[in-house]
Amino acid sequence: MTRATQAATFFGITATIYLALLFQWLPITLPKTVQDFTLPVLPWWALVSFGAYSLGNIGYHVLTFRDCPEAYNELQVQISQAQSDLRSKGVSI
Amino acid sequence: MASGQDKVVGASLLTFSTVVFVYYTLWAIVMPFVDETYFLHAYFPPREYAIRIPCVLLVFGLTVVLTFLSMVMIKSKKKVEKKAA
Repeated sequence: MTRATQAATFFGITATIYLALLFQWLPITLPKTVQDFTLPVLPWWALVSFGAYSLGNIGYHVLTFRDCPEAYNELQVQISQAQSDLRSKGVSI
Repeated sequence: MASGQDKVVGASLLTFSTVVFVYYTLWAIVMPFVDETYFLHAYFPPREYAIRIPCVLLVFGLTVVLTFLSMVMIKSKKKVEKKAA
């Protein structure tokens, strides 16, 4: 099962259960507050949580990003090598 | 390690998103079940705004994004027409 199929299945099942509870297709009676307020607010809560999670994830990775000085030095050496090589072949840098 | 300024930006993003998540979860999920006379209710706006604010933000955000997209598409079409002329 591909990632897309997996995501679509999860989304479809969640949506079906949610709509079934919202429009009271099932013989289940929920407490009044839950039915009248909590259920309608759940999609918005999911959206806000997703936004907060995305932003927090970016912030966390920006915070804990680690430099790698050996890779930096190696890259600098390679850049100067490439420059001198190209210059010797007549490319102006 | 990430530069000092990067760390500040990252930490502020993280704390902001955590605060938003906790406040909104309390407001939308927990407060309806809390007795109306409890002091905490004074810290939250009326409950309908818990739906109105994300709705407005979503509509506004979509408008900005899609307007930008449409302007880019119109510009690129004009460029193609100019080249063909």
